[in-house]
Amino acid sequence: MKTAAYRSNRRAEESSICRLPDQGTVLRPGRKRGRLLYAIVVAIALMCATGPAAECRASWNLSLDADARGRVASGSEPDATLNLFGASLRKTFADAKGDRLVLFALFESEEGFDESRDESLHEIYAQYKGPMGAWNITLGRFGLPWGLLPNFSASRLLYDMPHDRVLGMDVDSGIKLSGVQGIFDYGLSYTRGYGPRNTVDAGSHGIATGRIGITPGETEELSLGLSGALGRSINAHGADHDEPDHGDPDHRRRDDDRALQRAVVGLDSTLYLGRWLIRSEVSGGQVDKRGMRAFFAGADYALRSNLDLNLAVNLSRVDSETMNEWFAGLTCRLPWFILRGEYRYVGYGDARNQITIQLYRFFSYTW
Amino acid sequence: MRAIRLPFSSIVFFLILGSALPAAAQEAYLCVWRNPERTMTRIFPDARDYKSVTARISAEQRAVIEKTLGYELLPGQQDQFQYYHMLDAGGSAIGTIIPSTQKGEFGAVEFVFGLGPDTTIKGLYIQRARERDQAFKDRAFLEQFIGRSAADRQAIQQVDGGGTTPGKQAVIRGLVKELTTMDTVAAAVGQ
Repeated sequence: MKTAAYRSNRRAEESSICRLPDQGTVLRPGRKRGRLLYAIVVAIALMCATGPAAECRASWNLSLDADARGRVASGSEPDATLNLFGASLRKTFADAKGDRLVLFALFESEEGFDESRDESLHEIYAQYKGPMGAWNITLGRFGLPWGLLPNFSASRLLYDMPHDRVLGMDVDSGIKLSGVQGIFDYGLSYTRGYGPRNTVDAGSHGIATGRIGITPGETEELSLGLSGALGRSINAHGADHDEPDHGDPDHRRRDDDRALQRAVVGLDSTLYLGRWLIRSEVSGGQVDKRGMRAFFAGADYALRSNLDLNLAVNLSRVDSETMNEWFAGLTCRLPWFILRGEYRYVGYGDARNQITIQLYRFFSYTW
Repeated sequence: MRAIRLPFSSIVFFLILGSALPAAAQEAYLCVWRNPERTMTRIFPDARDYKSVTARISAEQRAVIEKTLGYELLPGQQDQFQYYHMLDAGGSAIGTIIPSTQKGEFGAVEFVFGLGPDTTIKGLYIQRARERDQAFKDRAFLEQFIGRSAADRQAIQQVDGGGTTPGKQAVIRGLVKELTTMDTVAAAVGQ
């Protein structure tokens, strides 16, 4: 679900979209750097296929997913849509000493209830693996090493996380160093700050993001992480709310496609406690020279082997402007589909009460 | 209520997903191993790298496995089997890591175990589970499987009286399943 200004900007972009003649991949004007990125990824793959590791084997994984949603919101008509289709392809090359190179691409086509369509090569990267995962170098467009993102994403769920307000995006293009060392795991990236939409607009971008995590104990029931980000990045990615307008002439709509200066830190935790799975993330700092605080918490409780209770809260505050969303729902894992239902209370804007039903199917095949 | 908008591409893909692909491809019990290297190092501290292996399970092999087990394999585990060769500094195999996902009382119980060159269990660690009774995570229970192999299926099934809690039963059942599958698949490829 996208804000009105975001949708308007996207329609303006789509009027000048260019397509690669043979692939139909959608790119935006000024995509030379994007094409260079993809060319680098392909070149790395070719080097592996023809270099000293030419004898390496490769395994493939294809994953497809799609979901349909129906929504009833206060003040609007009931609606339904085929919300999302995703397709990912992963290829792992191994040499004589182990897994060495991973190539990954994820394409997403998403349509919101407002009839806007968003298609993107959401992720595409090449990852060179060091021995025993002690270090890995990733080049391309990938998930950022921030908060809960390395191990969890709400992109297929019915509730939202505040990464669009904290970082402006959850994926970005650049380079990342990551790995696992004993009970510690780490990730450090420098990316362009454009997010998955690759918009080339006025203003310089570039953001450094990093996270260090610790998972003590043999059963790994508790994970903690400390994250930081410094630089400039876009304002909006997947923003799905209407910003409150306080009549302030200096008020800046945060769905504008601008580069924002960010200096933020965050703490995250994941806890398995009996039948509970509890995730939380708290962030704070400066965004666009304004104080920003954000908090997310999600809890899943296993009612039965195929039925979960889901609770979540998504809060953020920039200066005196507060946005809050509260979620409660159920997830039922059926033989062919996952069925989810959610009640959402939005503490700002017009649509205060929403009920959404989702039918989700996922398929994965490795060979 | 407004009509559902069905872009042509979405219709095509949803039909493909709904009709052409077997229910066994549903993700219900695919094993998603989040941080493999951490547990690999615990079981094989001398390992310097690892290689992923995805073996196809033929219809004949599946029949052999299910006949041995006495029940059907779970969806997502019926046609492919993934494991990891652990390698030393010279690239020689020093063991095998097998991740397992088994149905528990309140969802999937995920665990990992390692087999030495003699195909006996070297270590076993629980990864993810949301069971009410957590006794299956105790080292005293898990270490009863150390030194066992696929030839000890019956002995494994008798550990802790066959499992006094759903979590323990899931670990025992999953262990026997993975050992049987590995035994069948490895025999076919001569490993």
